[in-house]
Amino acid sequence: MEPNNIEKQIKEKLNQRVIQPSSNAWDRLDAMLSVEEQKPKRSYKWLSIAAVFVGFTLIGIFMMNKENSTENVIPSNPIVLENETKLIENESTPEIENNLSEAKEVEAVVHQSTKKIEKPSTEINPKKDFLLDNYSKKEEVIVESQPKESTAKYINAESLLAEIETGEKIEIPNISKKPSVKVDANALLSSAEKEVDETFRDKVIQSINKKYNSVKSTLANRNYE
Amino acid sequence: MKVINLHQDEKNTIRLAVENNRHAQHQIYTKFSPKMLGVCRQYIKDLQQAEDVMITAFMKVFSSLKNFEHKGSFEGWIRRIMINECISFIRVQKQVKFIEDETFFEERHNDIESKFSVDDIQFLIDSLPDGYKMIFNLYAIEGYKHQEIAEMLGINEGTSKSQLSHARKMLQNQINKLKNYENGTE
Repeated sequence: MEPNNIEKQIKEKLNQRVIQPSSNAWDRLDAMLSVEEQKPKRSYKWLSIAAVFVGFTLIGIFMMNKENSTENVIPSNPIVLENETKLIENESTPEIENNLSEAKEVEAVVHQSTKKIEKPSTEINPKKDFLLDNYSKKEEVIVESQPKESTAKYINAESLLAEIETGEKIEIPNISKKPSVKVDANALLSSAEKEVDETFRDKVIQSINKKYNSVKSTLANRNYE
Repeated sequence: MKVINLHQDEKNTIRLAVENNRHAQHQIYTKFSPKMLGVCRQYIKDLQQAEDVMITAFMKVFSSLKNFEHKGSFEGWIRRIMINECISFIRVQKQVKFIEDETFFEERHNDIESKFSVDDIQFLIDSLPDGYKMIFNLYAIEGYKHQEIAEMLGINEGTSKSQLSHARKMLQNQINKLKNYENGTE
């Protein structure tokens, strides 16, 4: 497959050959070069328009990510809720105590429940080993039952008074029975946040649409200017 | 000293041409265009079309001149751009398709001592189909290897070899015809 004699001859002769281009060939190349030089100025305009589009899409993506990240934050909220419900619990207990002070029969029951809550805050330090276990257990009980208790107590307060007035005994199971309608605080909060996010997303989309339409119209009109 | 000066001159001209200095660009064009038109004519039968392709290739030369690293010869670099432009022109315009045929035969070496003129040689090459012509030019004249040709044209190495052997056989027939014709007229 090596090049043979005739091929060597062809190579030599063709490599030496020159063909003069036509006289207008350079003029054509010159014109093409001039056009090429002018092109970059135009392309900057297009680049800036493209950059605006890219910018908007980036903002859109950023917003979408932000929305996702707020959804991810939700799991950390229960801690805050716990504290809040604790506060409610603490605030509500004295009220109940006052309300119920008139009713002697009820006192014992309420004291039991309030003691349960007061104990952890005051007696943790001295008896760590034993009380920490109790405390953690009680905490669990409180955390689990708090949303229910807080709602149930308000409902029961009136019925309790009515019951006291009529002189009927209060049954403890009434407190623990709890409402048939269960309200999950976490679910409520997350749904509320979702609603807020959705309206925010709508606003962003609307603004992007507005900007896009304005850019579109300016692009369409640019030839008439 | 002269060679160094020439090299330095070429470097300066290239530097100016990169900065879109039209005079420098014209200098480069004047120096290389006759030879490059000859290269393009090897691949393209029609001289006007060959010139068009050369002009397009010169546009590419000037637009990518900033990428030239002064490592190899400047002429070789321009020549490569010309050849690539010719190949893409032939492939797009003439829609040359290579048949994936890997059967080739070893032909006897042709040791014909007769001398041919450049016009005769060009006539012989022009008689080849575009696909054969491309591979013959790339292998026999430009000195590319089959592997390189296969990469350039997007074909198998075997196809390149078989196309070359077909081209050589056809060229041999044309040479014989030409010789007979010359002998007959003498």
